[in-house]
Amino acid sequence: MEKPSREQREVLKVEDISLSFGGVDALKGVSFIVNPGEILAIIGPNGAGKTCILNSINGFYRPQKGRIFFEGVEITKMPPHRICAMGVARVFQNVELYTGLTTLENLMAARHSRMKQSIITNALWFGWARREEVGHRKIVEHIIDFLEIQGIRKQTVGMLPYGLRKRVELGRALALEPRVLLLDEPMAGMNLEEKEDMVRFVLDIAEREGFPVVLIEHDMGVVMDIADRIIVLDNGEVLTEGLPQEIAANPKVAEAYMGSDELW
Amino acid sequence: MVDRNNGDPDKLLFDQLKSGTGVVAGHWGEKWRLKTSPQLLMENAAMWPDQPALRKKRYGIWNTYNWKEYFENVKYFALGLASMGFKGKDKLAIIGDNDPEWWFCQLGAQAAGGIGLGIFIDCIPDEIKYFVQNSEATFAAAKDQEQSDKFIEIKDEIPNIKKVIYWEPKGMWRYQDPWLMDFREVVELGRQYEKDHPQAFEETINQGQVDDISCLAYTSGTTGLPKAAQISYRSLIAWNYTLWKYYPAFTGQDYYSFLCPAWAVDQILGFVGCLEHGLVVNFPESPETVAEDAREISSVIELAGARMWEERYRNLLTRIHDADWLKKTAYNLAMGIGRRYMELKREGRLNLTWKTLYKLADWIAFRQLRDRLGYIRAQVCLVAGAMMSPELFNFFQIIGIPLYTYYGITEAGFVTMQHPGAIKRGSCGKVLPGREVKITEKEDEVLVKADSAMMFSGYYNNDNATQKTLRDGWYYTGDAAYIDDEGHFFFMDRISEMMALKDGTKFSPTYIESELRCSRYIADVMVVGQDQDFVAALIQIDLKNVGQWAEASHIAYNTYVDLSQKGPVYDLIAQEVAVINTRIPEHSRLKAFVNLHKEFDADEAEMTRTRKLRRAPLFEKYKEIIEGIYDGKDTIPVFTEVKYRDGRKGSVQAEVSVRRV
Repeated sequence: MEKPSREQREVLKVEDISLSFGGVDALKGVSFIVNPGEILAIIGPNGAGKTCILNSINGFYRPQKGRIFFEGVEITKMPPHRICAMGVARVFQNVELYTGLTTLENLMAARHSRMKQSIITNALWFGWARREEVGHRKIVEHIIDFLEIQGIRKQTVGMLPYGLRKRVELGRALALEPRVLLLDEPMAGMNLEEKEDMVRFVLDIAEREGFPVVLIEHDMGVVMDIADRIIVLDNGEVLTEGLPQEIAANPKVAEAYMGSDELW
Repeated sequence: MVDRNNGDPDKLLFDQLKSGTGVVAGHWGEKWRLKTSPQLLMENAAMWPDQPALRKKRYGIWNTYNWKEYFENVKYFALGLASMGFKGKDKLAIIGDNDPEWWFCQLGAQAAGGIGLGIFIDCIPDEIKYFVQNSEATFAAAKDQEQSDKFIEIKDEIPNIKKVIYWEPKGMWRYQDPWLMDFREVVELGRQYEKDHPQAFEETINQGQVDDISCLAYTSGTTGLPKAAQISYRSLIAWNYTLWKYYPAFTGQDYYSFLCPAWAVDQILGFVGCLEHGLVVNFPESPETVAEDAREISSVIELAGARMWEERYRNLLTRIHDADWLKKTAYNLAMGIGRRYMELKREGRLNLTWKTLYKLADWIAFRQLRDRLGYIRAQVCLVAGAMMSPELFNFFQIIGIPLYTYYGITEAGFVTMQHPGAIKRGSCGKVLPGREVKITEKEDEVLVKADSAMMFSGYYNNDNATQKTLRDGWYYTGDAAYIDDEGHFFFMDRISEMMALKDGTKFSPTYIESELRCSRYIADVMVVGQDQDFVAALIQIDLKNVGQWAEASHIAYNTYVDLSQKGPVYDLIAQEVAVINTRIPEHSRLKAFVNLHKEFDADEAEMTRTRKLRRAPLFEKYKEIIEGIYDGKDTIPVFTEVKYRDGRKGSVQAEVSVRRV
C-alpha cells in the first residue's frame, strides 16, 4: 500500500501560548510545531500542563496570549466543534463514550459531523439518506476491522472492559477522519497486553494514515519506543525538546520527573 | 488376541473406491470423483462457475467467492509459486486463521504439484522451526504481521524457506525485507507467468494422481514431537465416503470452517468433502466472532472435539444462570420434560403425550438454544478427540442437536462411527466397513488395519516412528478400548494416560477430567493418583464464570491467583466436586483437590496445540503440589516460572491450599 505523500509544512503550530486560571499560570509561553506524519510525545510531571495544551488546541480552553494554527489556518478562537470538523480529533484521558449504545452505534454517532442529510430525510431513510448511511457504515466497518473489535461490534459499550473501551474511543476519534490525532494517556490503566495492542494501533495509524499523532503518556518505556520526537513540559514551560535518546540522556528531565537530587 | 472384524456390505462400491479411477456412485445417488483436489476444483469451476463456493465475513458482511473466482485465485497463486521455482513435491507451510487465502494457498501448492502443510496458529517460533525443518518446506504462507514476525525471528535457522507470503497487509507497510511477499504480488506474478507458459497450469494439474500425497497432517503429539502423517487424496475421499454413507450433505449446503485448518478435520471435510460435493465453505470474520458467525451460517455438518462442546455447555449454563426468572422457569420445565422424554425413548415407551410435550418444550426452549449455538440447520455433529461426558452428551441430545460420536485417528481416518440406526450409550459406534480392529489382550490396545487406500502412507521423514507404529499392516494406536458382544466400540483412554492406584485399581484420568469440566466453574483439570492411595485433582477455575459468581457474592479479588485461593471459591468448587463424584465409579472418586494458581498454557508446553494435557511435564512442574496432597499438607507454597508469548520470563509466587472431600 502506498503512503500518502507528505507535505513538508507543519500540520500544527503552537505559538507562544499562555493560559492562566485566576492566579495560576497553567501555560507560560509554550511554542512548538507538529510535523506531518510524526508521533510527537509530550511528557512531564503531573500538573505540568500537558492536558491544558491539548484542551487549548481543540478549543476547550482559550489561551489569553498566543496563537494556534492548524494547516496554516488560525484556530485559536474557534469553537470546539468547528475545530473538530476541520480534522483535529481527540481521545480523552477518561473514556467519553455513550455507554448505553453499542460499539457500532458509538462509531456511527461520531460520523454525525460528516452527515449531510436533514433529520427528516434521515428519519425516512430513503434515497440519498440511505446511501449516505451505507457509505458511513462502510468507513466505520473499516475502522472496526482495523482495530480488531469485530467481536464487540454489537455489544453495549458500558459492559466492555476498560481496555476495549479505550480502543472504541480511539475508533471514535478515527471515525472523524482526522488530519491530526490528539491522544491523552491512551494507555493509562491498561495491562501489558492491552498496552502492546494500543502501541501497535498507534504505530499503524501513523504509518497507514500518514497523519501526525500528539501523544501524552506517562509510561516512559512506551514513549521512548514509539515517539519520533519528545517535548518535556514542566511548570507550564517547555523544558526541552528532542529525539528520544537525547531526552533520555538529559539530566534536567530526570530532575523534573524525580525531583532534585536531595531526594536520593 | 480377539479378532472382531466387521463384514463389508458394500464390497463392490468399495473395491472401486480403493483402486479405481473415474467416478463412483454413492449411497444417495451422489457421485464420487476419484481425482486430486485441484482437479476437482477445475471441474467445479467449469460446472458451476457462478455458484457460491466460499464465503468470508469481512467488514460485517458475508462476501461470496464463486467457483470461478475460487479457481482463478488458486490458479494464479499456483503459477506465481511455480514462477518462483516451486515444483513437484515441494512443500508450502501455512499458518493463519480460517480464511479463503488459506484455502488458496493449500490448493495452490497442490495444483503446482506440491504439498501443503498446516501449522497451528498459536505456535511459537521454536515450534514453527520444527515444523519447517521436519517437513523441508521451501515456501511459507503466514497470515499477517504477527505470524510473519515469527518467521523473521527464526529466519537464519530456516534457510530453506525462499519466501514468506502474507495475505493480510495490515501493519506490513514498513517491512522492506524482500523475503516477505504479499499474496497479491504472487497472484500478479502468476498472471505474468501464464503469458509465457499458457498451458503450464492445466498440464501440471492433469499430471496429478489420486494416490499422490495431498497433505502432511501433524498429529497432536501428547507424547514427544508431532509426527507428519502423509495422507493421499484417495484416503481423504474414502474417509468422506464412509461419512457420507450415514450423513450425506449436498451441493450448495453450508459448511462452517472454524477449527484450525492444520487439524485433519478441515483437510477431510473443508477441502475434499466440500470439493467433491460442492458445499459452500464459510469462514468467520475473526477468532472472536466464531460463535456469532456460526449462528448466522448454521453448518449442516460439523466435526469437533469434546472440549468445544464442554465450553459451549459451560457458556450456556452461565447464560441461563444470568437469565430472568421467566426464561429460567421455561428452561427448567423444558429440561425436565426433555430428560423424561429421553429416558422413555431409550426404554422404547414413548407415547403421544410425551411426544406432544417434547414438541412443546422444543418450541418454547430447545429451538432457541439450538439457534443460539448455531445448529438450527445441523444434520450431524460428530464428536472427536477425547471422550465426552455422558451427562453432556445427554444434554445436547435433549435440546435436539444431532450429536454422534466416532473414533478416528489422523493415520486411518474414521474407524468407528455411531449412526442413527444403532446407538448405544457411551459407545463410539461399530467398526466401519473396510476397517478391521483388534484389541490386544494385555493392554487393551486398539490395533487398526485398513486397506492401503484408507491408511496414511507413513510419517514424513520419520521412518523410525512409522516402523514402530505400523507392524504387519496393523497400526498400533496407543489407545485403550473394548468391544462388547454386539460389536459396539467403547473408547477408554490413551494407554499412556491410564493410571492405577497403589492397590492396582485402574482408572482413566481423562474420563474423570471430562466429567469435572462439565462444571461451569472448572475450566480445566488434571487428575493424579498413579501409585497413590486415592485420586486427586489439580483444578483450573474458570476465571470468567467464577469471577462473575464472586462479583454476585460480593467477594473482592484482583488476580487469578487471588481469586483461585479464596475460601468461598474452594467451597464452591467443593460443592461441584461433590456432585460430580456421584457420577464417577466409587473407587476412583476424588478425595482431595487444589485450585491451581495459574492456567494451563500451551506456550509452556503444558498442553498440546489442540488443548490436550501433556501429563509428564505437568507432573514434573507441579510435583511439590502433588506430593503435598499425598503428604497430608494443608497449604503448599509454590513458585512457578512463567514464559510469555514474546519470550520473556516471569514468575508466580503463591500459596495454594488443599481441600479434602
